[in-house]
Amino acid sequence: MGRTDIHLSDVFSKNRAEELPDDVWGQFVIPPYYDKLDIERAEKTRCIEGGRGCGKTMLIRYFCHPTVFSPRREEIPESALGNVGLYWRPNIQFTNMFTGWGLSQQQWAAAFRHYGALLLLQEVVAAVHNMARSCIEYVNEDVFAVGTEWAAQILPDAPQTIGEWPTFIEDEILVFESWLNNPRAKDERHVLPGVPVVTQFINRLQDRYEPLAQTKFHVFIDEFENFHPFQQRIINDWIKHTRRPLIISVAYKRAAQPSRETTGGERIQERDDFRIFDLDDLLDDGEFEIFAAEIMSLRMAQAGFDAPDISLDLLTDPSRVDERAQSGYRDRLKEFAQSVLPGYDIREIAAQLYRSSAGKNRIRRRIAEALRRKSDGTEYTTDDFLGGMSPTTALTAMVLLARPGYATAEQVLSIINEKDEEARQALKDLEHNNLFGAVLLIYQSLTNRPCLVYSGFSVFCLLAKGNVRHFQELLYQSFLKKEHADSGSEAIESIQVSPEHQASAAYKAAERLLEGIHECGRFGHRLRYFAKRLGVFYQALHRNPAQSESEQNHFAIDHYERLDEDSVMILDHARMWGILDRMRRTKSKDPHEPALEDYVLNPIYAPFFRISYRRKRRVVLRGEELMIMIKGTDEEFRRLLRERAPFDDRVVPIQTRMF
Amino acid sequence: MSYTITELRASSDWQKAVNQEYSLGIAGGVFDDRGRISHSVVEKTCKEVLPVEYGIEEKTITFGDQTVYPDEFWELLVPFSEKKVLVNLTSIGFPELLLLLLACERAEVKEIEFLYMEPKDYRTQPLGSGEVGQVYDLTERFDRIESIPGFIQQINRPGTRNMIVSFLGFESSRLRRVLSFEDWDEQTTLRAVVGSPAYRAGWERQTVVANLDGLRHVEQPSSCLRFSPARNPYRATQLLNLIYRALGDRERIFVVPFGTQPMTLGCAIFLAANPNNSKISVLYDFPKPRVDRSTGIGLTHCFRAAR
Repeated sequence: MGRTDIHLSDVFSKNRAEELPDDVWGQFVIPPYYDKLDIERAEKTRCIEGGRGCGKTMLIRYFCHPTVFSPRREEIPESALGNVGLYWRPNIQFTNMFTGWGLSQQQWAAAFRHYGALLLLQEVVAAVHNMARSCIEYVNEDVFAVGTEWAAQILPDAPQTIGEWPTFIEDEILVFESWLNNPRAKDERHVLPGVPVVTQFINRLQDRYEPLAQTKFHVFIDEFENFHPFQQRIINDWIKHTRRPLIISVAYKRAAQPSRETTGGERIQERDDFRIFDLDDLLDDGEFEIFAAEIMSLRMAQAGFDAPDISLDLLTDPSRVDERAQSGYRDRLKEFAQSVLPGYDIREIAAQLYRSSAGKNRIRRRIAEALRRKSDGTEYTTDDFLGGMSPTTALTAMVLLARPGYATAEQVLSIINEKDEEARQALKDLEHNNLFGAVLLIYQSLTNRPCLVYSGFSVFCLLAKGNVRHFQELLYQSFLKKEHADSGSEAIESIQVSPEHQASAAYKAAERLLEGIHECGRFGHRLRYFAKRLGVFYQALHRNPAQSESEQNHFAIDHYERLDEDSVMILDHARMWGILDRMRRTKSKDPHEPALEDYVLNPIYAPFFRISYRRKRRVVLRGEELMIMIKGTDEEFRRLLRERAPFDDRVVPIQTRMF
Repeated sequence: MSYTITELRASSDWQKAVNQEYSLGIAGGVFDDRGRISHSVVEKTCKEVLPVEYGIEEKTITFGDQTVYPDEFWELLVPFSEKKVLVNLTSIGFPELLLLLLACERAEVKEIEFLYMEPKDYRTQPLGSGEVGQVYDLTERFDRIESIPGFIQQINRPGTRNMIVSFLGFESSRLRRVLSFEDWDEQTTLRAVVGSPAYRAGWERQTVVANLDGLRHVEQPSSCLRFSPARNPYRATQLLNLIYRALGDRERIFVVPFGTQPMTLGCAIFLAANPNNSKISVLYDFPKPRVDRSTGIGLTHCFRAAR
């Protein structure tokens, strides 16, 4: 057992890279795809793409100077000087101000280049300072005395030595801020032409300070999509001409569609000018499970709890990635994660539902209602379908009885009582295909009970779907639930979180993340509205008593051309912010159906609506129906629900809240 | 010389609150009952009424039929420096209010009065699953969050600790969006100001409940809730002055005026008294108000500000 004075919920409460300091040394778990990245060797631009929460920023911070030259490092090899990362993320509320005042686009472009040069110079100088203060033996405080008198040619008040540059740059940025507040005032600034001046600065530094002669400075521009298009074009100019000693790379959200144009109207090209790394593609589901288990174990070990085979050295050393690929290690890790977050098999969940009086009542009432609609329904009772049957079979019978395709109750009974081997197999297939949906159907009316479908380490990984942030949110909520339940206990027996607590936590995490959509840019409140309506729509479809198209939780668009510009924009933003993922269609029943893509709601929201997190069945929405979801009135949305999900709720009334 | 509130008048009868005539009336948009009625009061009591609007893209001010940049806005107000000016605070936006005050100061307009009509109630929307309290539906859309000319500063400034002073409103997304900026570091603190006493008993609670998630965002021990009367611009200015004077050398405040219009006026007065101050900035989200965002009329106020 571990320490009881530290709360595991606290360990996982800070789950955003931006809430961590610039120096992530000792905190960054080397991802399994690390060897596929060639960032340190790159001589051309790298475009790092990935969904929100995939770890882009953490990865970039790992390569940047505050981490590389961290005071926490006891030893820094000379090779660290080979590739020094510089970080730039746009201050959106500031860079958005580069507009108006009657200035031409050229004037604003010049202002942006000047601003970019100042920020990058600030980073270069900060990097040099970090190097000098670190334990690396090749660079020390004598670097502060390196002369910069040559800089007077471009900035008249430039200081004489490197050591004076931090204060000087801060002052220059203040001067720029002052100008931005009234660009029409007399402008006495000396305007820097952008990246070329930074390159010149580095060249001169390298001429005068031998330990840095071979250093490559690698700029990582994070959240590239947040720059104004004209600013992106300027950065693309820099990308087009990127070469030692200054390489420019960018990172952006998947589906952000940043500009590839330059100011001269050309386009930068993949392979010639840049290479893309899609972090979501590099981390498949299987790898994510292990990665998630490692992060969880590391954080727990750091907090003093027992975790197997885990050491900081192992997880933070890029040369040991292969060691972590061994099956023995992975098996032990997964076993540990599953012991902390145990779950139930769907059959066991069905059994628990069946054993509970509330669950059994719901099943009984549905069977009774279905029997009323059968021509021979009066000849049978609910006990004919419940007595002596396994929970799985009873639930399957419940949905089969609701299907018009089975005209009589006798037909259903004969299927489930069949002794023939082939027929038994057919029944097993039916159970396999319908059990999940049937369980969710019952849980939808048991809103006071945690839905155990959303418990278990593997399920948590599926809900998080590659998003480390979401996974940590699930952990945070789980441990919080456990701590509240345990509070007042004298001794905490184990760190295991019960499936019931996990399920409640999954709901809470989903609720919190759904509310968090507010923060997703300018259209956050509209995206949240859309996400909630989608969820309610799928929830309504899940209430089909027959479960003939069970687990419908993603859509394809028919007549996409009928979507107006505003709706397309909301769809694009939903993808960019990870609320929807657009995926190639897996299979279609109709071979003549035109190729369409599926829009999948992020599974992290599934527990809130009690819908499936598995990618099973799609629903096809017409363009105009989708527009109703996005911006129709409540009445239009209600009508859509009645048309597309006309399932009788009188059996077990469920309140549908409108959004 | 900056403005300060010298008189507060309030009445259920607007004729007792607005008890004189003015040379110039300055108006914003009209979105609801009180917008319509307050606008008609302005038209009744002012010789000339001019609308004012800030252009977020071009950074312009349109005043009447003239469009100018913020640095030249004051020239349009010089003719009114000795005259009586009434601003319809009920419907004017915050950027317009702030830039107007700056321009009036420079034009040496002696006195300005602000007409404000409280609503009877605000428009709500049906509760969604899991939602508590009331969910208000006041805004059609928000724009990007940015500053106002005269107060633009980068958030991340090395060695500087930021304090967000946010006056809270009913809409939960507003504060959350500001707090979600990834430039705030772990040293950033929050002073969240709740309008209390509110216009109606219970509305303070609504404000806190609406902003609970945002309030949890900032976990610094030195973050806290503050209170300021929802109807009193003078107290809002006073609070800001108090906070400002207590700032350390390397501290800076970002004013976020999402509260009531009287509190927003208090913010604008504080900011107009401190332009181009490296320790004071402002952030705003430029909401487009929903039509019929409120219903009915409560008290009518008239605030006098003088230099």
